[in-house]
Amino acid sequence: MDAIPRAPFRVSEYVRAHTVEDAVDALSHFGSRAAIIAGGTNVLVDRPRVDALIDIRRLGLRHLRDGGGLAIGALATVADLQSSPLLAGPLRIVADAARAHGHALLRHLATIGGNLCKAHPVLDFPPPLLALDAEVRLRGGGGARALPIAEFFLDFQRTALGEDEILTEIAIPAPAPGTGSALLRQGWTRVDLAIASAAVVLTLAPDGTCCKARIALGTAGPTPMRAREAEAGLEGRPIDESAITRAAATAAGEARPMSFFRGSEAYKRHVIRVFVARGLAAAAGRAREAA
Amino acid sequence: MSAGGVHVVLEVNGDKRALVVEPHATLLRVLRDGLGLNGVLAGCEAGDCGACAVLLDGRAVPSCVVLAASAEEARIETIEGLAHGWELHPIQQAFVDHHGLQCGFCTPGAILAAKALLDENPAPDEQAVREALSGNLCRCGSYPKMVRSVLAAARAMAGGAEPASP
Repeated sequence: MDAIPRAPFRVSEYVRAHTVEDAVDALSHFGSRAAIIAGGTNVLVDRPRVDALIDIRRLGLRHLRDGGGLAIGALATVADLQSSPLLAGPLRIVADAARAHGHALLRHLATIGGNLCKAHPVLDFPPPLLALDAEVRLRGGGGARALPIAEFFLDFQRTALGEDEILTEIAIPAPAPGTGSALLRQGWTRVDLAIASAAVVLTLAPDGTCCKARIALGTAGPTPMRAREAEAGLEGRPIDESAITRAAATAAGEARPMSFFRGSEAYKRHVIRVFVARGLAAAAGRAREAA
Repeated sequence: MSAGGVHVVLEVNGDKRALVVEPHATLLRVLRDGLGLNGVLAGCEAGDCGACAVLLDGRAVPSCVVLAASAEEARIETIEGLAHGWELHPIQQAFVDHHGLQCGFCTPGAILAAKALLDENPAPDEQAVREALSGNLCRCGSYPKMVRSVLAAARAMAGGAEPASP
């Protein structure tokens, strides 16, 4: 078998940013001729054709800060997230995604920011963050802005980041009382990328009525996505077996998976339907316990 | 901003080294081609196989996905730094005693991944060892003996001589 052909990776400039302003200035200067590098696990594998690397490892954005909601610095590593006591209750699905991420040698390098900015539908952090209604905070030449994470993923490996913008923080709002969540993920092996994944977050009223439903899917289309029709069908009614069955079928219909070597379109759609059903049942159970 | 070579100081196996590295150079290439540390093996060079694993500030990482320029002031340990003369590190000795290797290509990376684990958790259970070695591919399929070697090393390092297998 032939070796995988790989272009030699060469750049002419290296910029070590010490502040967010340094990074934004360098991005303004180089524009699309530069790539941001943090952990290195995307850039040194993808090897983009750029002239400069802007190293943001030293920006001090590795925090997890609890204050109403949870703010996660874009440079928090998979290892930081795997073990954080702040990712408890409904936020556990972010730690679950960290535990599912790749293999042990990558977890001290790979960052949550890099995972989101790669904007690949197979990656593990977007679905739980979509389901938790997270917000992404960006900084650029024009200042700071925030947007719902659902508006961050525009297309396959394309984000809403402007040419001079970097992702600095992810903010997860504090879940309402009576909220439960679940993350389901299937891979060929423990360390392989996902065949499909589903993150579910449900908030139930004391009488069991669903006030809010979020279903987010991975490897289900060109971007990480929410199954909005399935979500809408659950709100305002109890989460019983018929509601779960219907929502799972609706979500599988909304998904646009692609046949690839890890699984056919039909198989992925099947897995999505099963995962949404199991995820709804698990999240509803946890929501009742939390109430 | 630095065009061309980047000046970095790395502490490699206890020695401070002042180097000029290319802005795109990986730590793997600097250690192997620049410093001649051939125990840092080049496998997939895509972060998948773990043959190039080194300890970066005590954490096991694939050096092929670490930018050398970014490792400024980092403390790096490679397999060359483990033995004292002819006296092997207990993990190396355990791999010998328990046949934790066949061809040996994955061995340096696997031993360093094991060292990172044992430095943090001196008494891991089997599942923790398997998890720690999850990024080290062994195409000979020696995984069970690698796990056994690491568990034996943990016992040996906890005190008490480890009897060699017959």
